[in-house]
This record gives sequence, C-alpha cells and structure tokens, in this order.
Amino acid sequence: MNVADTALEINIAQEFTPTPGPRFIREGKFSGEQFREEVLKERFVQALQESAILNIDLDGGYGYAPSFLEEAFGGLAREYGPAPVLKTLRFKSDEEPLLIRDIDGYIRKAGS
Amino acid sequence: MFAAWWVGRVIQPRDANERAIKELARGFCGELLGSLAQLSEIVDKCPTGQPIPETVRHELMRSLTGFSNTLAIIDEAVEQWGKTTQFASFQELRKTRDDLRTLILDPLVTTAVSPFETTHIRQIHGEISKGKRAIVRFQLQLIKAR
Repeated sequence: MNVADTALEINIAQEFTPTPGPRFIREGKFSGEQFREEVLKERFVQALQESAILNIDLDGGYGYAPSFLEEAFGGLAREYGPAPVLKTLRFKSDEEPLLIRDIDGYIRKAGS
Repeated sequence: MFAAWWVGRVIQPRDANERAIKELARGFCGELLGSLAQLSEIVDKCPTGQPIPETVRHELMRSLTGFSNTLAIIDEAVEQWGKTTQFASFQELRKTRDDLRTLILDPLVTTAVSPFETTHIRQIHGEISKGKRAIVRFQLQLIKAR
C-alpha cells in the first residue's frame, strides 16, 4: 500500500487493492473491515480535523461486493455517526454510478 | 385563440418531451432484458461444488455492472420526467439489482472453495426471472403513463 500522508483523497484501486474482498478480515484478503481500519479511518479523521473533504475514487478495480462497501462506509458511520461521514466524504464512480447511492444508503442506515 | 397558442407552445412540446423520454426508457429496457439474459448464461457457466474460474468471475462482475449502469440511465430519464415514484415496477427493478449484487458478489469474494451450490444458482435464476417480469411490467406502465 502506498498511502500519501497529506492527500485528502483515496483511490481504492491504487492505494488498497484493485480486487476488493469480503466484509470481514477473517473472511479473506482486502476486506471492507481492513480497508476501513488501515486506510479510510486515518484519512477520515485527518479530514475531520482539517474540516476538509475526503474524496474517494471507486474506479479502476474489478468491482465491489455490497458487503465490502457496507462494512467500510457503514462501519465508519457506526463509529463516527452518519452526519460527519456524509459531510466529509465525496465519492467518484464513473464506472458504476449507482454505487454512490448504495454507499449513501449504507451510511444513512448505519445511524438508524 | 389563447387555447391554440397554449397547445402549440406548451402542451405539444411537453408531450413531445415525454414521448422522447418514454422512447428512451423503453429502448434501454431492451438492453436491461439483454443484460439479464447474458447474466443468466454466465451463471450457468459456474460449476457447482468447484471454484469459479477467474474469467467467469470477471464476466459476472462486468455483466452486473452493465445491468446496473443501464438501470442508472433509465433512472435518470424517469427522474428528469419527474415520475420516479409513479412506477412501482421500477422500484422492484432497483431491488432486483441490489438482491442480485448481494446474491452473486458477496459469495464470490469470500474464500469459500465453491461459492455457488445448486440451490444458490436456482435462487439467482429466480431473482433474474423476477427482474425480467419487473422490466415487462415497467414497459407496460411506461406505455400507459401520461
């Protein structure tokens, strides 16, 4: 993994993996839980502290299982609350635009 | 006189716009049906009780993404028209997409040796059939919609 310290942007395919895996670390490699814990959380906290936007680029990989996305972004919202997550994260998904709506739903549901 | 002006300037262009959106959406419905037929063929290539070959995994991913993106185009067209909530069958299609993604993609990314067993494949085909029926209902609703 090549995580630039200052960039408030994450390109999942480049910085984590082009082949995202299952929900939990115990279920296999490159899980949503691993992504949240090793990449997303640190950058999200940095963005919160700087009142900045964290751009997440979903393109360039082989596709995402719903459980990966729910655990990564829904999981973040369960820990920090949906409001700051919705306010801080912006998504780009030219390859499958509906993923952005899926993720928005996971984040909102995490608060209910 | 005012009525004639009103029909010519407001009603007719609006009707033409609606017809164009309906045509566009109906055209993409054909593409949606094609995506589901293709998905069904790929699912049949998945061996039960064995690992799924890498090429078939990628075909499944690509096919689901294609279905999803066609749905997004129709969604946008119907939204422009301001009729999203009018079509119950379209909501069913959205749900079919979500269910297919969960049924197919979640097992694919686990370390299970054989992600798809016979009953699971039957379940996927059931969901695909449900999707096809929803597309036909949506097309019929489009024809009747004003």
